[in-house]
Parts: sequence; structure tokens; C-alpha cells
Amino acid sequence: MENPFERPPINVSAALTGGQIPNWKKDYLATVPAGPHENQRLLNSLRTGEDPTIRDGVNLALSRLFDSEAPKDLHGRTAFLVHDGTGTGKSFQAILAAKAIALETGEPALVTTRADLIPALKRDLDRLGLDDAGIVFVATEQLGAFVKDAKKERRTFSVAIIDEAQDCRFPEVRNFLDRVPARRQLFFSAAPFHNISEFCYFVSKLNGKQTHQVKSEINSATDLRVEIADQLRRITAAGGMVHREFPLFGNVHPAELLPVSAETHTAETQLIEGYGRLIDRCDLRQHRKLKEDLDIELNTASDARKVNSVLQQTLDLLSQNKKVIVTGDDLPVASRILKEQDGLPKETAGFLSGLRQALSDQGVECSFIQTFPQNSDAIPSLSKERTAIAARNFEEMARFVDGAYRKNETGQRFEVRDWRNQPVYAPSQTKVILLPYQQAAGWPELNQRFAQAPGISMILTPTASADQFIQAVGRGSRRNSQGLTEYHLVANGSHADRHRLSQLLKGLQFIAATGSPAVTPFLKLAAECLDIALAQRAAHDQRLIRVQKVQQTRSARKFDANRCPIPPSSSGVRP
Amino acid sequence: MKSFDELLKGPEFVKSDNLAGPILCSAPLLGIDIWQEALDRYDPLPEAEGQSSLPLEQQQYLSDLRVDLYLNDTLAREFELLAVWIRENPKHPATAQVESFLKRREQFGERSLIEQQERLFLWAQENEPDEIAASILGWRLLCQDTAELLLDWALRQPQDPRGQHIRLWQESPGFYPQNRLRIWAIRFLEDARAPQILAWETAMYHEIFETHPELVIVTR
Repeated sequence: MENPFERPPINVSAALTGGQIPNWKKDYLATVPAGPHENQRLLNSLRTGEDPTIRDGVNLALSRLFDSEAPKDLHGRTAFLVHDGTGTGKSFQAILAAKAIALETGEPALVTTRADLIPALKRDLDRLGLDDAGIVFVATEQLGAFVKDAKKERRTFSVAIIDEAQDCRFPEVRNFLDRVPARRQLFFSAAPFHNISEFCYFVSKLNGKQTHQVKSEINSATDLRVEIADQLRRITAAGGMVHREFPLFGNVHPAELLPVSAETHTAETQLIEGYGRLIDRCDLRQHRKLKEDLDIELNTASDARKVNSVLQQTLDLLSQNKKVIVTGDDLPVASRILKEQDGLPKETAGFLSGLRQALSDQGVECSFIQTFPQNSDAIPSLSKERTAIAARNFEEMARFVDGAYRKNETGQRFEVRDWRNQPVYAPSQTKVILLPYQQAAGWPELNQRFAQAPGISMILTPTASADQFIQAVGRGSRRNSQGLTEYHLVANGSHADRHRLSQLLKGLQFIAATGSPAVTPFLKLAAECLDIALAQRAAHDQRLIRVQKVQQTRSARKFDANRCPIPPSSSGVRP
Repeated sequence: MKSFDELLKGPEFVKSDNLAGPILCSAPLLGIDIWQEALDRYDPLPEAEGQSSLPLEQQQYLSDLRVDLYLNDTLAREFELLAVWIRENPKHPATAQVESFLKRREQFGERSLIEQQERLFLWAQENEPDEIAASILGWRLLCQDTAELLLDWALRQPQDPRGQHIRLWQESPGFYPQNRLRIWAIRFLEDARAPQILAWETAMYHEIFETHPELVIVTR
């Protein structure tokens, strides 16, 4: 397979509108002055090179932001969304757009992103040979305090640019952003919409309608996916957004389902019936929690049945000199329904913990990413525990990553580079990493970044969250990948997997409606898996009905009412 | 026996917006629309400088609590002003309705009920599958569902005072939505959806008090 990252990304917007994207009329990028001689080359190639992605993105954005006829939000601001996939050059576009707008208006541009990403933006500025004149960088975390001061000092900005605009899912960030004294808003994100609410927020910014109006249009649509695609088509055709993305650099293996034993079906039925009995006895509050617990119990039970197969598959891949990323859940369960022989609740280890034990029994050491405590990202009093786990996870990740690293005196990790400034290859300590879905985001170094390194295979188990699934997939296919990633989805025909696959499919369909080409193979895979699972279930039900019919016929034969008439006194009819 | 899909649908609670009686509008009596004024004056920008060093998730969490406290203080102020008004206007035609409204103060409880939620939640997370822990966590989930439905309803009813009251919810989802739901339910007890919210809370505190009184610092 050819490396898709060696070509310009797919122009999703052009495909969506049948090529009807408005052309930019002014080359704003040309006005950005080149820096010192040695850095001119990069900026010049972005202006005139074979790949027009960055130039088009900047010019389309500025055309819209300066268009006096463009729709405005409630605060009278114009807005533009750059919905470009990972590796398409969003950061370059963000700082070049900031520079160009500041030059055009004579007012500074405000650029905000999470605090840990600001140094990278500043490095990009340096790579382009540009200084930060006309740009004010503010960490999104500090935006509230900054806006308060800016208002006091009566400062104004030509534009508020937010990189990683998916952070607008926090109402707090939307609030701060809307209070920045700027007449324009420019959003950059590889994944701006995870759900309808986030979709409505951006659409409302881009078409000037109120959020609840957009929501009601979407809710009243007969086909949600068609409506979403339509809304995006209209906004794109009107010049409100642009979307470019790379296809998947990987090979998705065909759908294949593990067999489910009769014992598994019986255990699932026992669980469902048991929870049904519990729910009948409890109030609304407990009911709501039990609903969640049933989901977890069924999922953990279903995943526990996959440990041996995934172990075998992992050992096979290792014998083929592959590195393996296994992504799944790790939710241990003490059953509310099923009991051990001693009467205690039946305990089942989380899938990844079970697999770790199985690998260890085979003498295979792996890197293990531990799940954070629930809600520890939000609750300040849990942050200490979270930080400790994060530090351990970082060490585990480092053992799986290829390449040479050293630490400075403060313990910071640096990549060792050769005389050509290329990363130096060194094989990783572990060849397997177990990654919980909850922690699938981040980790930019797990892919195959060295041509001489072993290939990467990903084994994924079903999850209901399409967002987490796509985050996990993104660990393998990245801009700097030197080889394609093999993807395997391991599912079975259990109730739990049918439910998760159907949720996953719905989520992937939502993402696909927003036009992401990398999702397509997984959409097909999830649909095929679900079809097989449903067909297996139907066949199982048919078999069950046949067996029941046979049993009923046999019982009817055994009990022939004519042969044993009921005496009148015991017939149940009182005189 | 319920099927798997039926079990996953979740519990059914009252969703009707029917009114059992007229809603008290205090603005003409007090000469000031306390809620309108409070909602207009709410400052979403963080007061503490120190907060700006926190991750966004934690800032959102603290902002949610700030909104809960603000709504709580606004209702407390309305009660206070109406108590003064009734002393000064004992023969006003609206006196009976105001008197009846002021009786709700008994259910209002202390401000620190809001701060107590974190303690209950963390204990419940630690002590699953204890029955009370499941109830505490389920209570929050149930309130999340209710708050979401109420907000959706409010967006479709922009003129209704019950909807205007929750305008701030749009800017803060509420980590412990039971806080803001309680305030809303006390304010609009005539709404068919309100009594269940208070009943869930009463039952919850009753159970906690019976089994784990050490968890409760303040009561309603």
C-alpha cells in the first residue's frame, strides 16, 4: 500500500459539495513577510508548493472572516471552521492566519490552545522564520482571567483563534471565547463534533442561527445522517468551513466473529433475568445505576471470553515480528447475580488485566496503561491520584516506543537525533501494549515511526463509543508512520457485543456523515460484524424454538388428557 | 420478565410540564425581578486567579458548583425579600400565595448541602456495589437525565418563567445536577416534574442517615 501521507490530503469539502467550494479571491498568505533566509524555503513552499492545503485553508478562512455579508453569531462575529485531520498542518494554518489577519487589520490576533500545546505552536512560528509580532498566545486554561484583564484594559483583537477547538465542548471555554473582544472567531480541530450538541454549537456559529434552532432542525429531520451532511454541505458551499483529511494508512481485516458457547448464552440470560428481578424491586435511583451495572457486567463477561483468542492472536503476531497494540476495556466485576460455588459473588477480572496475566503466564512482558479513576479529570481532589497513575502510564508507554531517548536533569524525556537531525532508531523494550479505551487519546508515538522497526498490529474489542474507537485507531495511522498498521476487530455474538456494535455503528455513521474518509473501512467492518452477530443470534433463536417445539410435543404426548381424565371433585369447578 | 432492551431503556419518571396551581411571580410585589437581575449579572469569569492554572475539566467542575451556589443564593434572597414584604403587606391579595411559597423554606436546607455532594459522590464511587452507594450514584444519573430533559424543554419554551430560571444551565451542565434541580423544584413546586425531584432527595438522605450518618454533615 502506498503511503497516503506522501500526497496532499483528500479534500472532503470538495467531495461533499461536488467541487462547489467558493474560491478565495485574495492571497492573504502572500502578505505575510518571509523571515531570515534559511527559513524562507518552508514558507515559500507553503505559498507556491505542490500541496495547496495550507495556502487554501488560510485564504478561505480569511475570505470568510472579512466578508461583510457573511452570517454572524449572536455577538455579531463572523466565524470559520478548519476541520482538518491529524497531520494536515492545522498549526501552521493557525499561526499564518493569525499573522495575516493582524497584518490586514493592524490589530493583534489572539491564539489560544491548551497550555501544553503552546510551545509547539511557538516552535512552528520559528520554523517558518516568523516572529510573534501581532500574535498574543494565551493558554485556554487562562483565557477567563486573561479576558477579564483585557476588558479592564480595553484591549481589542482582530480575531480569536482556537486550536484544538474540540475543547469548545466545555461550556466554560465557549463562554470565555465569546467574551474575547474580537470581531472574528477561527476554529481549528481534527474532530470538532462528537455528538449532536457539539455539532449544533459549531453550525450555529457558522450559519448564524441560534443553537436551539439548529437542534430543532436536526431533531425534526427524518434521516439524521442526511440532515447532518446537508447542513455541512450548505455551510461549506457558503464558504464557512473547509475539511481535508488523510485516508487510513492501514489494512482492516475482514469481520470475523468468535463462536459463543451455549454456556455464555446461559450466563447472559441469567444476568439479564437477575437484573430484571433486581430492577423490579428497586426505586428509580437504583434502577438508573443498575442499568449501567448490567451493561458493565455483560461487557466484562463477554470480553473475558475473548482473552484466550486474543492471547493466541498476539502470540502469532509476535512470532511474525510484529508489535501489538491491544485496545479494550478494563472493568473488573463482582457480579450482583452470578455466584461462585462458595456463595460469594463471581468475580471477573477486567479484559486487559486478564490478558496481561495470560501473557505473563506465557512469559510475554507487556506495557500496561492503567485506567484512571472515574471523573478524576474533573474533581480536583482526585488529581493527585491521577497524576501518579499518569506518571506510571508514561513510563509504560516509553517502554513500548521505538527510538532512543535520554532524560535531562529535570527528568524530561528527549528524543536522540543523528547528525541529519533524524530520530535515532533503537528497538523498544516491550512489543505489546495494553491500552484501555478510556485512555486511547494522546500517545503520539505508538505508531511505526522507523522504516526498520517491526510493523504494528492493532487488536480492538468492541466499544459503544465511536469517538474512543476512532481515537484508538488513530494510534496506528499517523502522519509520520513508516508502514501501514494492521487492524483486527475481535468480537463475538454475545448480547453485549451486539449492543456495543450497534452503538458503535451509530456513532461511526454520525462521524461518517461529517465526511471523514478514514472512518469508512471501520464503518463497513462494524456493519459486517453486527450483521454476522445478528444472523448468529437469529439462527440460535430458531434452534431454540425448534428445541422447545420438540420438547412441547414430547410433553404433550406424555400427558394425554384423554387417558387420565380429571375426576369431577378435583376439576377445580365448585358446585 | 423485562427484555434486555427494556432494561436498558432506563426508568420512567414524570416528564409532564403540567401545573398544579399558579406560579408565584415576585417581581410585581418586590418591584424588582430578582431572577432576571441575577441571571443578567452573573459573572462567568473565574474570580480566583489560582483557578486559571487548573485543567479545563476541573475549571468546568468548579464553574458548575459556582452556578449551583449562585442559584441557591438567588432563591435565598427571594425568600428573604418576600419575608420582609409579607410583614409590610399583611393584607395584600397575594399574601396567601406568598405565605404558601415561604413555607418552602423548610425544604431549602443549608448552602453547604451543595458542597456536601462531592463527599457523598466520592464515598459512593469508593464503596460500590454497596446498596447506598448505588443509590447515590443512581440518584446523580437520574438527575442528569432529568436536567437534560428540562433544559431541552426550556429551550423550546423561552417565554416560560420555569425555563428562564434555568438559563445558566446552558453555560454549565452541572456535575451534581441534583443541586440545581432541587432549587428549581422548590421554586416551581407547582410543576408536575418538581415533587419527584424532592422525593428522590428526601429518600436519599433518609437512607444515608439510617445507614451512614457520618457521611452527612448538613441536612435539609
